[in-house]
Amino acid sequence: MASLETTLGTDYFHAPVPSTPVRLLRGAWRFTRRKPLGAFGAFVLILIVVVGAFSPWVATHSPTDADLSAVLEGPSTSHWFGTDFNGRDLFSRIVYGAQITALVGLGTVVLVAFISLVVGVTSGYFGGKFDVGVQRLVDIWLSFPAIFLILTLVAVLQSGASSGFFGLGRGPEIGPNPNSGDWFWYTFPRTTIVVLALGVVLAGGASRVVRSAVLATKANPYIEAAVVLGAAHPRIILRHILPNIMPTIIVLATLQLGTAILAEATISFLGIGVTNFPTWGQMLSGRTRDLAESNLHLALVPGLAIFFAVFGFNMLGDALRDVLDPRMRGTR
Amino acid sequence: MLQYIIRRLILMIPTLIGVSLLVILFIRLLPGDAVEILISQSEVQGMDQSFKQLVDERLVKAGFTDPGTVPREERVRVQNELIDAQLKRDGLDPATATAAQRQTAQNDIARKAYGDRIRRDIGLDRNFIEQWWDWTSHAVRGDFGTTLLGGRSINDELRRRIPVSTELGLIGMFFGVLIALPTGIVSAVKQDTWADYVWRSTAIAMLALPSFFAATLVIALAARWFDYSFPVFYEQLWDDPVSNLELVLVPGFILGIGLSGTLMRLTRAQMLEVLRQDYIRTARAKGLGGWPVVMRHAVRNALIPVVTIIGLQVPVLIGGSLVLEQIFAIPGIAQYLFLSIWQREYPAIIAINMIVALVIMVSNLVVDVAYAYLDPRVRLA
Repeated sequence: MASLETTLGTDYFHAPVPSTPVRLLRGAWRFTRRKPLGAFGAFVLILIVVVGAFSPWVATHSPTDADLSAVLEGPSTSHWFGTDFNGRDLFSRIVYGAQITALVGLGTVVLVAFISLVVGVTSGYFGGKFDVGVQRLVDIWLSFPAIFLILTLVAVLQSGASSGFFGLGRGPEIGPNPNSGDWFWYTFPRTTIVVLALGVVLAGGASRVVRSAVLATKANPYIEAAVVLGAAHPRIILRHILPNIMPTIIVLATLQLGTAILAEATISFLGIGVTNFPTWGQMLSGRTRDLAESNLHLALVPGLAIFFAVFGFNMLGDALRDVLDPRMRGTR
Repeated sequence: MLQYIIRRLILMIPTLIGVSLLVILFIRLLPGDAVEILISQSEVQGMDQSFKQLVDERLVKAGFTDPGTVPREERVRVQNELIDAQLKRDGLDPATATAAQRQTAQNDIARKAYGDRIRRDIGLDRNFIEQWWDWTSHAVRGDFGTTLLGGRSINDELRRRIPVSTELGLIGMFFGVLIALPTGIVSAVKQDTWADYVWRSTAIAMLALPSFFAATLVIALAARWFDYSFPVFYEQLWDDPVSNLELVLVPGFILGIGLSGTLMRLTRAQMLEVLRQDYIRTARAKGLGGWPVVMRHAVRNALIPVVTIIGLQVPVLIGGSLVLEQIFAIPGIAQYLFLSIWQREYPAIIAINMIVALVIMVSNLVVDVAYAYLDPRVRLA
């Protein structure tokens, strides 16, 4: 008699389970095939983080040293993206700017996730009068255009000259020597201020999304079962609610990454925020606008960098939403 | 319906109170030396003015009703009195002090007087609730106070700037809808064809396009290809419509591009939803052709949520106009906020944030009412 295997083909049940890295790689490959644009977004994210982390090794020139013999040059083999009005190498400036983009983007997303989780989960889980009260506060939160609130917050937080925000100081006015490893501490105070402002402002809208996900999860019978079995609130929230709203959080975080980077570029462009370090938004401001007429690369290089970063993250967020959280489809 | 509107308006009051508390709290959060920075950053003019005010106060105290008509000698005498007192405090002898020391003493007095005036104007000399109440009681009467530097009326400035921003916002909304509706509808009707893919990708790209990048490119390319430059000065619409539109149309269009990404995606999603409904199949079964069904039966129903989202984009419009007003030198309210932050004009920052919050709340109310009006199934409770 033929064995079960030959009748049914492969025996999936007894097939060896692949190791975790292999499974992750297979998952990534499947994601890439199904959502090529989402994979492009993931690639952009990894690229920015890697370039930011290793910028001294990636950059071909100093991002801050002026070379007056090579002012406003177009792209060439020695200056891949050309040079600006001070003869600084644009490729190296983009590479160093990726540090701020990555730090502000990821920092903001972590902060937004944290605040919106605390607010959204408590408000949605406990409900009742507490929920109504919290949602009124969120109404106030959402009554400002984000960029107004961000500008006001950054201005207020940066207004102390010596002490700055909670004694963080503002850092030196002039950018770091790229050969020293100090860039992080040079920019730390201002980056922190920008991250705080962006995080607090963007968390308002995000908390609404978290709350609605919590409400949907709370309606499930297994939550009721947990309550009947005598589980305490922290246990229900941590063991039953959080794992179930995780896909929503991941999608939300990815989409917020694009928003945060765009907002950071905007305030940098306006001359506020991380002003003592080359950032992408800052590279578009000032004399760039006057000189862009005859030197288009001056505007195109930083502009396209911002554009592709935000475009990539939006694509990644969209793709993740389709894969992880079908409920959120069409919300944005 | 009327009852609902009234109740919503009343509910707006606590939110507005919350907003005002929050904004004033920001100002209180300023580190202790913020006033010093304000003084060091502002022009000498402000300090000279405060010194003159101080002298005027003394003169009024001395019995002169109008400080403007006081004889010069008397004014100089009071000035010297103040400077002598300051010199004594510094441990110097007024009789032997040099001109430079007298000047330093005068500057110290002026600096202190100016600092005190700013603290009083911001309200830092009182506690939080008093300050808030003072501001609110003036604000509800439509008085937003004066600027710290120069003492200009914030009301006048707002009155000049709000129509400008409104015009820009309306043009932005117009272009946003003009781009989003046709592309969204086509994208849904031709779902999963190349047209759909192109428009959907374009919509996401529009969301990612920084408006300052787009504006820089437009200005640079207009100059490069057509040798065209935008008007430098803003003219009122009724004074010089051509010059006004020349300046405002392009930023309005860029504003619209940013808006159209969101709107287009929503229009598409709603159209797909409606196109699957039974009544669409019924219309088709009756023998109606493709486009009449789409336009008469589907679009009208799909647009209801889209209308509401247009209303909810008001914060996006106001926020987006900040950068564009800045680049194109349009004297709108967002530019005023930026200027105020730059010059640390805290009364103006508070006033602008409050007005914008009010506009957003009212537009949210209009959205809800419009939704109920457009869709009879929605009951306002």
